[in-house]
Amino acid sequence: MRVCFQIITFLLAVNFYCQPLRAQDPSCCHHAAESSRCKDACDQLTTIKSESRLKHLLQRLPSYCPESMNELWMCINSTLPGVSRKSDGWVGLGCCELAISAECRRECKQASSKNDITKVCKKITENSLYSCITKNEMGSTCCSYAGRHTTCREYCQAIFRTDSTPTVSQINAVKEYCQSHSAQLLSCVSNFTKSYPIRSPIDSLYCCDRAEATHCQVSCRRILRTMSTEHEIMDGLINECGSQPLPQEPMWQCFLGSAHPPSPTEEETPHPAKMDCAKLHCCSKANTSLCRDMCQEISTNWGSQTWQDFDQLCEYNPVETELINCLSDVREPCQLGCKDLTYCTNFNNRPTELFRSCNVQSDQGAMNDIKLWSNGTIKMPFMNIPVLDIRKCLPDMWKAVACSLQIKPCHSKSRGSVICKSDCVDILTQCGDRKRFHEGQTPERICELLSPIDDPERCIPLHRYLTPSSLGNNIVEEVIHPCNPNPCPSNHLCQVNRKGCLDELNCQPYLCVPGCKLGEASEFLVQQDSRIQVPTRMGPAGCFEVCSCGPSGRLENCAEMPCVDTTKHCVVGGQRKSHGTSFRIDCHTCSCFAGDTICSTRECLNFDSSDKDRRHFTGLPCNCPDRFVPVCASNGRTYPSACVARCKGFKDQQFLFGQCRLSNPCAYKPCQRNQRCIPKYSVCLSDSSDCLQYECVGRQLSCDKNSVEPACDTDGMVHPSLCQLQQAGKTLAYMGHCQDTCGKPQQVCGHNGETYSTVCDAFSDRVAVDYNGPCQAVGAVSDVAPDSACSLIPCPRLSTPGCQPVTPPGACCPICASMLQILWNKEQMNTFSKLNKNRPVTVHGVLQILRLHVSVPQCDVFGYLSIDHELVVLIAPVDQQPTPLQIEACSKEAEKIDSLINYASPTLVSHVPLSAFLTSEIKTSSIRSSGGAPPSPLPLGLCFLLGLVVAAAPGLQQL
Amino acid sequence: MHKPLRKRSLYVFLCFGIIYLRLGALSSVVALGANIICNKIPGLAPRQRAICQSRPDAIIVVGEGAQMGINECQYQFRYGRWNCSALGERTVFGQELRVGHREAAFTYAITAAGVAHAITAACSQGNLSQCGCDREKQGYYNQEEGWKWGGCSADIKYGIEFSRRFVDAREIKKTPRRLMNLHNNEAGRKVLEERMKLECKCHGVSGSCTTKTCWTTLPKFREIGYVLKDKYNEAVHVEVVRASRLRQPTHLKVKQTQGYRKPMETDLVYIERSPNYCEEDAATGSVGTQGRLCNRTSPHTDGCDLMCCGRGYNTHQYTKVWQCNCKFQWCCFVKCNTCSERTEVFTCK
Repeated sequence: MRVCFQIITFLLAVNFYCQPLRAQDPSCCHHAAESSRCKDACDQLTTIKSESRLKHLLQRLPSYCPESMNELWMCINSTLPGVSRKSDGWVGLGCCELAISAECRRECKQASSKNDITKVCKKITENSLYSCITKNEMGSTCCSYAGRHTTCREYCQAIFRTDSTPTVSQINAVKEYCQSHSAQLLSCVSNFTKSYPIRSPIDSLYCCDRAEATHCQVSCRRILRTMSTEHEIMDGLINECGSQPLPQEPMWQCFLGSAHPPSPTEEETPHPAKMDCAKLHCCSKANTSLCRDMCQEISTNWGSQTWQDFDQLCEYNPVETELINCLSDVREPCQLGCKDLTYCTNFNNRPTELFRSCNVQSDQGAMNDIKLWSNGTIKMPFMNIPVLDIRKCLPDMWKAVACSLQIKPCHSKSRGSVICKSDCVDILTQCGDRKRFHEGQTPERICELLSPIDDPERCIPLHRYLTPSSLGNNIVEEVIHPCNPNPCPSNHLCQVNRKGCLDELNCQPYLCVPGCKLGEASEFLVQQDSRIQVPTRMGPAGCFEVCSCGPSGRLENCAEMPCVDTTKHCVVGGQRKSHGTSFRIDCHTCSCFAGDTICSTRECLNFDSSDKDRRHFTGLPCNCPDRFVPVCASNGRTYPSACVARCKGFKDQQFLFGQCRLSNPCAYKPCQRNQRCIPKYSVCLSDSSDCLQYECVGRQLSCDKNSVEPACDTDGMVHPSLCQLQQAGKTLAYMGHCQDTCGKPQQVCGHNGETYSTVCDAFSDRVAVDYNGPCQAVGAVSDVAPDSACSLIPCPRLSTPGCQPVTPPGACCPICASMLQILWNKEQMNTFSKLNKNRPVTVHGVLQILRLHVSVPQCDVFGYLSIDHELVVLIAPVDQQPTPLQIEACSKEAEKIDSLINYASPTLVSHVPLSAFLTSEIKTSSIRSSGGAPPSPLPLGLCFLLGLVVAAAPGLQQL
Repeated sequence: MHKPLRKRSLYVFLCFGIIYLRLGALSSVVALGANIICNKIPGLAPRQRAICQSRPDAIIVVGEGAQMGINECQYQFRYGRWNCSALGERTVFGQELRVGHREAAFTYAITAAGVAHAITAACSQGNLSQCGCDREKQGYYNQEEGWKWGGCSADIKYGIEFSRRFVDAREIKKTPRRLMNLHNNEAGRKVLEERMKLECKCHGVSGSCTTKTCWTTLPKFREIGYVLKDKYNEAVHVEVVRASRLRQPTHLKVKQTQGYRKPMETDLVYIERSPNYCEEDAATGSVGTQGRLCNRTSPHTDGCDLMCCGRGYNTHQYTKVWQCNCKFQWCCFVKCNTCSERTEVFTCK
């Protein structure tokens, strides 16, 4: 009887605390050392996992270990927690496995109540452990309502087991057995097991389609539609689909995938791995759908297999030159200047030519290539060309070829980097090994595949690199390239230092600023705080989003732009033009943008204009008379007369008489009580919001000491930044260091029709000087207009005699600089402004971004909005008397930017306001004498011959 | 008049608040929350269940990884008497092998490697929210050798760490089997880590590779399968050393007559000898070879004499019918012929 009682006690204990048995200390078994059978049985107690086997063993245990083994039984009694003394055991023991840290687990197993573990186990990190303990505690209180030996209690315990959530059958069993016992237990249990109705299980119907068996699909749909609680749905799905949920099965994956996890403690914004947004821009330029898809594949999914496929199919395909040029722009943009090469010395000292990869590695690469080719075969990616010994047959030409292939000179207009076909045929005819050519391989056929272009505009002539540069071996300091080669560490962008430094002694010509990469797998960097336009990953071709480069080094805060339909064509004069192409209509430049034809608004004269029209033609909009009575319009620009302003669409109340910079925008006290109003003149390109000409500055306590942007005040003192100037209560004269030449106020007229108090003021507004003195007249806007009132104005002398000057539209005097006339899209500017919290897009802002693309400190960017609403950008040398080399460098920079705009290269188009540029026209000013040195022996020889003839003439006469 | 009304409305709001809070514990969109599904997934240890509940997106990848491991196991052993087929109920990690023999060693190693592989691949794809490309492999440029890190390197450390946390959580009891399983898990993961590949892309046309951009990628899982199969063939028989005060197993040593040597980290270890798998035996976990297909002419283990353990085989002749010579007809359908052949197939008795 006593045995029976003990067995039943054990059984109950096992029922109550089956999990903690695993933690039983087996050292009890050493009490049974004498009897090996007993010891084995005791050892087995610790290894048994399942409840039923444990029950069986305990039933048999007394037969192995007689009760006379008192110490053993006492030991087992005490270590089986809660056998006789219920208070000793602790409900939480079964939860100890959920603890994450090992110390917590140990502490938990030795604890006897929840308070013991609070020191070691922190509630924040051990969520699952604490929830399990709470559950178990609730279970023990609920089930204590039932009597100790009842089936009711058994079923009650089963519900609170740690592992699974209770099934419907278990809940029903409790109800059945416990109805008669106590209503409190029932209510306590039902509190715990209440199954809440689910909101809209129908939303997950799509997951049913993923199931593999059709009967499972059908019943899944039926279950989701009819049942409403979680338990029912789960039980139903498990019964119908035949097995427990497995995360390998697609249907359960779908359910798990849409299950929102509880909010994680730190939310890291998901970044697209393996993405390269810069290359994605280029994919829309592909001509064939195969290459477009492959391009998208390599931009979104980094892997070497896709690269190899792309190389084979698209990299050397002549149809895809635009795509390939675009991709090479992203990888290795064209940069001015080449120097310090040891092997390809003919490429040194060329500061005004563009190269993609002028560095030590390419130099070495060319040397290695020559070594490889000396073996007799040139291995190209898709063919082998057998050649004679290149050391004997035209070695100079081969060296030039190897160096060009590695250093990749860039043509300034087309940015192509292929060798000209005639050169290719030439060299292969002379040096190709005919005997080893394959069937049908001839130099013409080979060159057709390798370099099919012979257009001097698009291919690189080799003869230029057969001789060293005409500038000689002297180190050229007139034009320097501080960022080529890149001196900055990785993840930092190199920029030309145009601000100067406060510490004059250690001023470097470049600055290294932190940047962001456009995607994890990209190499293309943009400056911090700049706004970038990237194509969206999913979605059709014309959809972009605007992101900003954050301090973390990644793009964040992306906002989607409305999509542009790039498949729409424009119909112009009976012809279809596709999106992105530019063309001329009369004297206008036009561009097709998603079905709209956007044209410039110049005044044109055509063949059939009458003579009367020609006589009265002024070139100004609406043929307004060229009087100069300036008005300031609401976009911040000064127009030469009210007629012009009205013609450009401004209503009478939108402009005031007088120049914009002479008005006082703070007159009406637009700022609040504790803020100062400071005039800040700007010309806005977007019109979706007001173009404010002032700034309200509060009383700031501290300025950012790190940003250095020197500002000169009206007293001639320089301050480290504009903020500190304002804090000191001074008035800004102009940005930049104080110059001596601008000490006294000397009025000058800028190209935009505004009068500036000093030259430095004009330069800090990025406007070049037309003539000295206040503005008096408006110049010719088109080429064919007759001379206007400008003829009365004395123009300053050209900075370099011998340059072919350009006259910007609306200005009176010519200038030695290169000029770009850029057509832009107003709708896009408005979109950008709206996405940027309704801050307007200003000309000054656009010019600052364009400045980042000029890599030579001797050239700077100026510009203004012309009367015709085109953006005129001047790239002019900075020095007062520039050398011809500097002027040529600036024209090359202008050509480079022109081609970047016209070909919509991602290096330019990624920056936000610049992507609204449609097309640009360029006029360069070059020196009249030819750029390259003509071979000097020739005129000398001619001279000699002439002299000979002259000397021999008297002799001839005698004949 | 106001006070009791205010009190009552306060209680009403409190009541609603409590109900709302309890209801708010539901997920808003989906029918089945992660908690309830995770509770029903068979074969998960408590800590694994906790990971499942907090990261359901990761558990999908874990399931796929384990499935990949099982598939690879079945591929590698397709010609053997034991062919890694499931025994009884399917769980996340395949069959539960009760005996610690060589086959169990292989199974544990390949599933641990499979989980690590799948997690790393999912990170590189950007499918998991808390990991991405390997940050350490970016930006470094080696001037002399002319290569630099670029692109997106696979973050194998994260995958291995996750696999360690998840798969090793299954081993709870302090038994010799636990030590063996942990060792084999780690061996599988080490094999994967050692086999990471370095891929480079050369910049420049024709021949010379003076500048390269390199990144690390995952190997194909088939390769890991072959390596682990070799290690299975050379698996080491170990026994457990009980060195702690409580005589609990602490580490393994190679079973030799004398000497004391630890097994290598990348070795597969087993503690019991394998049965011959000829007959069905639930105690050892053998399914037997009745009904297995065998190849009459092959001299290897898939030959009928070895596979059927001398019991003999049944020959079954049948006509194999299949579609052949399929041609595409304009515009919209494919027309095929039907070929037939009389073949015979052999199954063990």
